[in-house]
Amino acid sequence: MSFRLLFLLIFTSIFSGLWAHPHIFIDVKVVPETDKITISWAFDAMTSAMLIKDYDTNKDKQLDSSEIAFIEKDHFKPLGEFSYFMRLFDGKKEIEVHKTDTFHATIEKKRLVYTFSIATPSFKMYELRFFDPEMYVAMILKPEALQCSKPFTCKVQGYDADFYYAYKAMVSH
Amino acid sequence: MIQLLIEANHYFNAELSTYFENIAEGEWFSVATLLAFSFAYGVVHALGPGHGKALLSGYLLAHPKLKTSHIFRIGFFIALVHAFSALVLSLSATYMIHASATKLLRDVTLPMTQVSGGLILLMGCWILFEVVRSRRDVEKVDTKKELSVIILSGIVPCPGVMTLSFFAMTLGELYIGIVAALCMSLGMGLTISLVGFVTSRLTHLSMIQTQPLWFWVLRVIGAVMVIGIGAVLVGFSGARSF
Repeated sequence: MSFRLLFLLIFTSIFSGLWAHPHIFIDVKVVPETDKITISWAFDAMTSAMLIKDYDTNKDKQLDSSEIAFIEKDHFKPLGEFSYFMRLFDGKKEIEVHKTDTFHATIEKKRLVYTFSIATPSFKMYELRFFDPEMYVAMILKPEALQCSKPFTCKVQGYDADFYYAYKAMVSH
Repeated sequence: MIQLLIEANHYFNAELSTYFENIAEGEWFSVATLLAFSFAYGVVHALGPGHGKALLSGYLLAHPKLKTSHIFRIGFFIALVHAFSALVLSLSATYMIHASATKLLRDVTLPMTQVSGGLILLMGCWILFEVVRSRRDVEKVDTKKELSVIILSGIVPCPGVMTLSFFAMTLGELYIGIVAALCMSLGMGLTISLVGFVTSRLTHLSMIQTQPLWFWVLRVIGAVMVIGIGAVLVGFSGARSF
């Protein structure tokens, strides 16, 4: 291993982020529709257990409307500061997402699942990119989790963005 | 490479959850597998860039005469302190102050990171002062700062260990959770030590050994790295809101 390569490795270890390994895993599901894009997040079992312990206040292993409202206010909405770990890409630039609608939370097979929607962008082709630039949260979008029907055509692709790994749903209609 | 790292972490995280659930349902033969997977999860978990490895690398560049056994000792102790602080926080939150796990993680991590960053910064300045002062005499470098490196880089609790231990407690498997967390920290220690070992080899290259100026510059770079890590940690914005 060359001297320069070793140096590169060491400096990369500092400047590529101090927490650049994932601690939370979210399986993302995307359903593009004409007027909205429905997105769901399924948290990993460990994170789900922590969150459910906090937010299922009556411990009935279900989330009622008041618990869901509190989750939205206390946990979900603050993530808007991080663009909900996604960006819209119109072919030229990435656009942050700050407005979401119809938030819902459920417990499915011991996993906490958030479902929400965002408005469908006006452009005919777009990409919805999922990532946490600090890689503390791993957003994972598998091809089968992109549910596309006519008039849309869709494709999932993972890509390495140097300091983080991202998935994108490419949608055209 | 990053994708592989994410998928490996995801895989071990999911497997550990399953083994914990199996044990909670009475499948005690899963304990051995759980502990082996905890160790492997630690190895993989520490493969990503982190301040512990960066701090150790900087320290080792500044202190090139450390023995390999010292390097491994520092590496393993950094990981143990990292896991131990997470365990103490998790246990205190659950059994003493009855605090929310997620809120604790988001409220405690930021100030602890910044405080340890400030101390690392000061330590880096001290190392730089020593390196500059002892330019012609490497042997005079004080290696007793090992403990400071271990504590300062390990004291920020590992979110991975906290999540794992909270999960174990949720299932009523506190003791197995503690042992699994220790196994995980041993795995992390192995990775951190190996990174430190590779870094220390840098100072053994012939072009470094035969050029005193290069040798000294490398040590200065190591000290500056430690200062840089401290500065970055002090300025940490706390994007960790989960």
